[in-house]
Amino acid sequence: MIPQASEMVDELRAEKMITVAAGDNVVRLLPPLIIGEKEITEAIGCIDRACARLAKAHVAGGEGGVMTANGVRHFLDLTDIPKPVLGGLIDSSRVMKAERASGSAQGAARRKNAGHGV
Amino acid sequence: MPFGDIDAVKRAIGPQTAAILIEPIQGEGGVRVAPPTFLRALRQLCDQHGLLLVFDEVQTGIARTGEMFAYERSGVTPDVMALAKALGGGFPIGACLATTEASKGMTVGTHGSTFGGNPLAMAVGNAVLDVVMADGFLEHMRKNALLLKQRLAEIEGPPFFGHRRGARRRPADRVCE
Repeated sequence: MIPQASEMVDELRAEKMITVAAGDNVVRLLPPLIIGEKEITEAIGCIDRACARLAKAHVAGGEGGVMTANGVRHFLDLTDIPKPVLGGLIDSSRVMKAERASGSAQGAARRKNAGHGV
Repeated sequence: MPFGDIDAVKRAIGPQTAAILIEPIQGEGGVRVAPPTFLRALRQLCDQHGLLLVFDEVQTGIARTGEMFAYERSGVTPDVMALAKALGGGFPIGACLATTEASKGMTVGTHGSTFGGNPLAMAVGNAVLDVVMADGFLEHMRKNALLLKQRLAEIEGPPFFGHRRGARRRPADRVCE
């Protein structure tokens, strides 16, 4: 369930970003002192994509989901949410998933308007 | 030695003990920041027992924590400090600094090294310091470090993204919990 730091390092290397694993499952980022806003944005993009892939492999497992990092957070935060709300969230996530599968622009617009208050 | 356990350190001090060596922020250990209270307690212990306090700032030195040296963040000054990495800006270099008092034990000629004081490496170190110590460099870097931290916080997302460690400049993401 919990990925190893080395997996994250591998995923980030695939994004052409070099990091180093250390200690108790820690990924060390190695920004140069002269890093600028542009590089930061690029790095965050790499990390976000790497996380999304790891999340898909470890959390969505087998479901063939296309969860993004944020999608996974919402999924996992469900434990603290009252049951009725949880039901609604699960329904809306099913709708989102179906929309993604059909890839409709309409669905994307609806999703944007709906929100799910997590 | 358990990290941050001052009692364990006290118990370990014996008649053969000459110094206490520590990274103010552990690198390979997982970017764990030593609490300033712990470093102050170590300083006190060293002064009591006549030991040298040695900081390994190989990974933290030369602005990598937002200050020129990590020890500045703790308010504790070591007797001896090891530097490398950032000092060369990518070029291999290492340096050992000591206070006048501590360096009394290491006079010229007592410590040799085949490639020590290599002129090219020294020139590179000088050039790096020119850049890092230039007006506004640290401020600019701190600003971007803060931006990086904020952007990292925005992708708090995955459950395996634990808390972030490190000082200003050395974000490390815990892939755990």
